[in-house]
Amino acid sequence: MSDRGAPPEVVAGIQATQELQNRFISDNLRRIFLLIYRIVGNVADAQDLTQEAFIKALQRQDQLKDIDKAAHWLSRIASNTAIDFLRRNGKVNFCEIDTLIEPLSEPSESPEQAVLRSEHRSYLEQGLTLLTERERTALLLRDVEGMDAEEVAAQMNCSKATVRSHIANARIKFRRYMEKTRRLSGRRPA
Amino acid sequence: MSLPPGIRHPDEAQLALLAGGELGRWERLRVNRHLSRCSACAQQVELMRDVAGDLRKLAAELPQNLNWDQLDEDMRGNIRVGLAAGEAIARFDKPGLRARPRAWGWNAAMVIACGIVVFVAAFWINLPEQQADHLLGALRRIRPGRIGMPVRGLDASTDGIVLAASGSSLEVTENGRTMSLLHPQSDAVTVSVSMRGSVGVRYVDADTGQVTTNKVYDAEQ
Amino acid sequence: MRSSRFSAATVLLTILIAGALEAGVLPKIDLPKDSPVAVIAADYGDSSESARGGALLLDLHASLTLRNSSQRRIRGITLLVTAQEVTPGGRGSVTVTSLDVAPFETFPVHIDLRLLRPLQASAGAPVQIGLDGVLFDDLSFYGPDKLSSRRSLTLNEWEARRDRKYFKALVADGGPELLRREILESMTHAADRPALDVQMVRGGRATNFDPEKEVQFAFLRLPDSPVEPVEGMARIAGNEARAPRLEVWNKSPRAIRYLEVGWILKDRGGRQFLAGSVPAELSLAPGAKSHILENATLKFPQRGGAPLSIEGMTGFVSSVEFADGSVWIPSRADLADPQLRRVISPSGEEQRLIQIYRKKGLAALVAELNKF
Repeated sequence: MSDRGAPPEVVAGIQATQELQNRFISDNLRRIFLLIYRIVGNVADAQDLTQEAFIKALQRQDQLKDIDKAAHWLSRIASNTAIDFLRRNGKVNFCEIDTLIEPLSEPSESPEQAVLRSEHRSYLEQGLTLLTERERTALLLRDVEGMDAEEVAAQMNCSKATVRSHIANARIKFRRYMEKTRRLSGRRPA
Repeated sequence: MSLPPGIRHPDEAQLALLAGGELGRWERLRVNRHLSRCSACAQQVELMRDVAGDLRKLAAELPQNLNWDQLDEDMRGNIRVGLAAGEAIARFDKPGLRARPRAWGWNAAMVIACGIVVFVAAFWINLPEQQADHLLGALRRIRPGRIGMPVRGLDASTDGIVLAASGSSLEVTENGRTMSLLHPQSDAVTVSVSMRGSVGVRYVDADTGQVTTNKVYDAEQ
Repeated sequence: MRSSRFSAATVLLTILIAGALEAGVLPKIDLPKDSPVAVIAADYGDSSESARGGALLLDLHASLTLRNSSQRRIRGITLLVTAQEVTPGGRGSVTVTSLDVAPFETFPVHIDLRLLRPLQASAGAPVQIGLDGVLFDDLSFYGPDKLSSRRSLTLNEWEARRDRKYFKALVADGGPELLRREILESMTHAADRPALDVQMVRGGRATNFDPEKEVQFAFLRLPDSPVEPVEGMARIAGNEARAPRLEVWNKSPRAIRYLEVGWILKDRGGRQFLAGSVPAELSLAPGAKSHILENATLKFPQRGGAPLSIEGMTGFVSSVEFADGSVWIPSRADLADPQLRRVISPSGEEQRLIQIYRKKGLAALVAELNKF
């Protein structure tokens, strides 16, 4: 057997590519994971989908024309991946509009329990569980990712009017939940 | 400030959309004029704007009890493997076919060597068939459970030593008392059985990167 | 061998967890005075003891820092773990292989253990940790060897050397890309290996209603093996296989003192899996034959789906130790046999290298191989 290792220039080339990839992943991994997690609602699926999103992005990096928009471009791939997943699993039709149900359906934990146990569970997370997948997805893409309504509509493959309905319903539900929480605790939840 | 009679409040959806800037120009003007005279509606809009701010903060928070360092590491590893697999397959795909990574089991595409191995010494031969069936039923009920949870279901209260391996531990049980050696619930665990009287589990320790083998033995070595 | 200045009774630095574990529950670490390793720190971080019904549950999570006190590089270590008041007839071990610890360097060993002790526990440490063996880079060994750790550490080291040499050759011949393909293929094979539930008992009789039948062994003969299986049979009844009997022939010019035969089972659906190994300590002169008989029963409980029904068996020689202490293990070419590749897991070293690739990438893997 020869004692030769890999040629240094080959190793250096591989290292350079890997470093760029590693940096791209480091800069975005947590943010993308959290975006997907908030959409699909569980860690296991969020992990799989995050991995899938990065692989797609890195395999299509030649499609990225403006490097400054890499983060935004990756967010779109990630949200697409999460939305496709929910569609594939038959969990949600993003273009149906939910009726705003009165009264609000109770979360698994009462607001007073959530307030009392706020060190264990953020009241905001609790509020998100009150939303449907459509509403939650639309709200996250709009208010967290900063996409405009048109872009959200493109991601969810719905009309702009439908997306506006989802967003409106989501905010209304959240507002009612927050009011209720404040009434019960006498203070703004942490 | 109270509203003149006959002036209607905007509906909730309009307030919600105003909070996020999604209303059209004319609608926005009209609703804003209303808010200047109606503190209740203004308060609702303010609350909904708070939601957006709070959600942005929440977006940066990790789920409770999540070991981010471990998850980060796992995801990076799987991304790397997925990219490499995609390249390897693309190389062998015919032109025109879309290359995509194989459907790896995502847990590092490695075997989940979650076998349950029970080494039952002398008492087995004295076990009536009904008790043997009960033993098999108990084995079927065994679940790996959380890391470190002992495997339950074997009745080792009679004489003799029982050796067992599960997804999270090796156990040696004697007269109802158990010593367990724990290992990570990993998909890269290799179980080994020696008919001389030992059961082992080998894995790569995630913290140290070292190859670690736990074994349990009966006394007759 | 340099004398150790530290023993279990004089561990210099012991970090107790915050109040949950009392000193009397800490394990007793007992190393010989001339041990080539010394415990310089023991951290019991998350350990605890709590009452569980009529018993005390001890959860011990020990992170030991050991120092190589010898003048040679350490390749492997086996620690013996016992709990005499709980399981006097049983014991455990924690082995770390594929090490490369230079003289006076330190390395960690994790021991995670759980004990159910009687409520009226006796005084004294419930867990005893001792040293069974240390293997050095020159393949010399230190230790009482109660668990045959010299043999297992040596076999592990030979497998590690074989696999590193193989992977380095891939890089030399085809560049890192060839290495990556091999790693990915190894991972693919791992994903295809069936998981198995197995029970084993010494002695025993068939507990199935299925009629028992004698089945002849088929053999996978590895060309370079110094031992050739001649014939063999076992009794099969449904999902039970028991009492394997084998005849082996030493076709080498060297005396043999130990060998292991791997036992592959095939079910009615054609699935194959490595059921276990049949070790044999014997004295086999060149050209001589010998019989191996293991009065044991393997049983494969139903694990969902159709019950397992064993239809055939294949044996293969998986390791040989000669009388002079040298060993033979299958080569990479032997392991490339499709039947073996389907059932045999990669070596510990290969798993370690795969982990490096997964965590740090191809360049790091190549760099690791270049260290040896």
